[in-house]
Amino acid sequence: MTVPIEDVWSAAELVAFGLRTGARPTDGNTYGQLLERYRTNTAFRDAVDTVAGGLGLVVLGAPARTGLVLSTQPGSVFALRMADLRGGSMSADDKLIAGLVVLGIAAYAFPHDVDLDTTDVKIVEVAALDRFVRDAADRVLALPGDPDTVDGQARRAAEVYRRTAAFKPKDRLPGPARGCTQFAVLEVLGWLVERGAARQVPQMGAGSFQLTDRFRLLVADVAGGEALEALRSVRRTATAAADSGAVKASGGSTVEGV
Amino acid sequence: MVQEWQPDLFDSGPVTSSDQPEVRSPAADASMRARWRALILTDPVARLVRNAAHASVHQAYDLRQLALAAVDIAVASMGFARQITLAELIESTAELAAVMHPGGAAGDHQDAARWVVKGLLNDADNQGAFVYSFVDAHAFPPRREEYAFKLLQLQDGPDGAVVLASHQAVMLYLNGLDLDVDDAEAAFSVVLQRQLRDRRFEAAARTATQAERVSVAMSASLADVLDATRRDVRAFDWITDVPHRLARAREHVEARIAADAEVLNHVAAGIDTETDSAVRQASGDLVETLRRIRRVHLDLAERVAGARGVFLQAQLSQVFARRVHLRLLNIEPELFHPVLDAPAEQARVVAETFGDRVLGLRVPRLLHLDGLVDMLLAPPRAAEPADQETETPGDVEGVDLQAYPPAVVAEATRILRRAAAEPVPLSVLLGSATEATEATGIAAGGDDLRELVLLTALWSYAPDVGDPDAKSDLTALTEALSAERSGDRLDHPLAWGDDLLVRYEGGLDP
Repeated sequence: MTVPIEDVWSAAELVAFGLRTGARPTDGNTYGQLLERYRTNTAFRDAVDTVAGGLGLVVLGAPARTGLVLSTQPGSVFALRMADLRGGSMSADDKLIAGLVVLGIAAYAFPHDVDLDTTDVKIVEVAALDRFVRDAADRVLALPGDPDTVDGQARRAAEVYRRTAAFKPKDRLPGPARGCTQFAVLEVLGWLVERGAARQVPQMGAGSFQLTDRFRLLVADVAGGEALEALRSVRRTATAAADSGAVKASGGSTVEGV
Repeated sequence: MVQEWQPDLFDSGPVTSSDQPEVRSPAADASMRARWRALILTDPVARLVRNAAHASVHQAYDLRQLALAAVDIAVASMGFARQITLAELIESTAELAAVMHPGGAAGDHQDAARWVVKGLLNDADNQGAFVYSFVDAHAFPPRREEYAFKLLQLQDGPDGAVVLASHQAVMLYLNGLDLDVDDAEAAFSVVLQRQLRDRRFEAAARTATQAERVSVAMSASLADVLDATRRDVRAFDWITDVPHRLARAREHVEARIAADAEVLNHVAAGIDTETDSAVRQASGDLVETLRRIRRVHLDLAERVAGARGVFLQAQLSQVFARRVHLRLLNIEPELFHPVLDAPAEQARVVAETFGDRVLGLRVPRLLHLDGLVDMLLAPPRAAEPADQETETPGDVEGVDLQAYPPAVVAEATRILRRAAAEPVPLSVLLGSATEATEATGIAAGGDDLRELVLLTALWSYAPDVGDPDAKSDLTALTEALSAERSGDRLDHPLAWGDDLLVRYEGGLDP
């Protein structure tokens, strides 16, 4: 199958629109027309998927209202680790808290598995989300850990979150100051806005954000599965280490994950 | 999720079992569940009004009316090309709130509007569905059924979150009554004919508007069906259910257009022959309304006509589509809680993987004109104002500008020491000061000396405990003095009032 050279141009143009998080497809604009073509024309869809693949990107979906939703393949020039977002200056606890906040937003937005398939969107408010994560942490900590295992002795993630202050005031400006969990929530939501996965809704009050359909696709189709896989693999490693530790009677250190 | 029977505009009514043990009032029992649901639909509004007392919402706002208005606004924009966004809904509702409470601040209006919309979105319960349980007393044993519904829902749109009203909200909007659409139509046309015969044109226009709402509701409901079909052909039953709905919508449009045309002719003919100007005005308005309603009906007809095409198109494009894998992940119990429970090191790995995938797409930042304008229009980062040191008066570089000259201080000290042997009245001390001024001839210092003697005496009578650390030549002097009222009167050019007895208690030598 040969693809006309103009189609390759159009395909690359559509990928470029997909990368530009601020761009919105409408019925009239070029983006909307290209997107409609992607949704209806199989040959063009293949061309777009191929161009994106060559750039190290994966097309997750193309909802008419949201546009092309892209994710990165490992090693892509576009790939970025969350830890690099704050100029690479995040401590281990900062990274953990930021990761927990992203997970918390997903858990808040999609309380049931069917919610990952509906297009309803939600409003997230900084203080409310912080409370949500804290409540979950309290519930988890209320369950007794197993004091005999290595896991039971180590500091639990919920504890790290709960120990960090919820709110520290800034000197003169409104809003949370660095070093509290509400600041982390605000920061993560800011990153989501840059990523096109959320939008600010000042009309609902300061610190209110609307999650977009893009966020749902990212969670449902990539992040959720990979995080589950990572969870399984760290548990496997931890169990193996605990077993060998028991044999050699030299346990005591937690195991770095993959 | 509750997979029970959900009320819908196209449904004819509740299903009740026929073998009921005891029939008290067949009519009441038959409609019990439907009426219970109608009652429940208003509960979220009642709840948001109840809880408003705990939030900082001013009492001047009629929150029930605001809630109805918010639903009205959402329903009015539904099913048509331009749907209302959340931001617009808040603003429109706040405008109405401003009318209710003209004295309030703009922020208060916004707060009230926000409170109402949040209540309708069920913000208190993470914007999920409202869930109520109904006890079916006719089943044996009595069965509890959960009834879940939403009033407003948000969807992602090009200009922000779009607000949709659910079927239940549309029902609430239609007065919250358990209306059978067909019956309502029949009732409307009977009422309309009667009103026209009675020449109550204004009322007729209102009735016609109500009929319009039925069309709007049908149109919205149909738009939902088509949207879901475009996403997934299997979402609705296109073999029996949807064709049935389409047929009814078609009948509705056909009947309404014919009836409206009849009314329109009747009214238009009336305008030509009518002489009363008020009636002519009302008739003209009615004609206007009816024309607008006809456009709504035609829009619905168009939608019905295109529906089959949407289904076929969706079927065609989805038949070879990659099978949508089921997203069976339940994030909170399967991912969020285990990660919170895991040791920090392991949790970090998993949480970072998740965050990397959600956030990890970096696009080099280029300057676009629109982005640049946003950047330029953004409020500047406010530099924190530097701390202003408050100046303490009289603390200027060691030199006290208001200090008395040393000669005056020495002379005043000498005069005040006379009180060391026995208490001396202030009037006498002032007299000595005057004499001393004349005798020593301190240049231009006469007033200063008298003033200093007077103030020192007054200070020792009622010290000003402002600055205990300030030490000066005078401090030692005033600490050694004490004064009390003598009962005589003091009459002096500088001071007038009760005379003071001044006593010097320090040693005779400085």
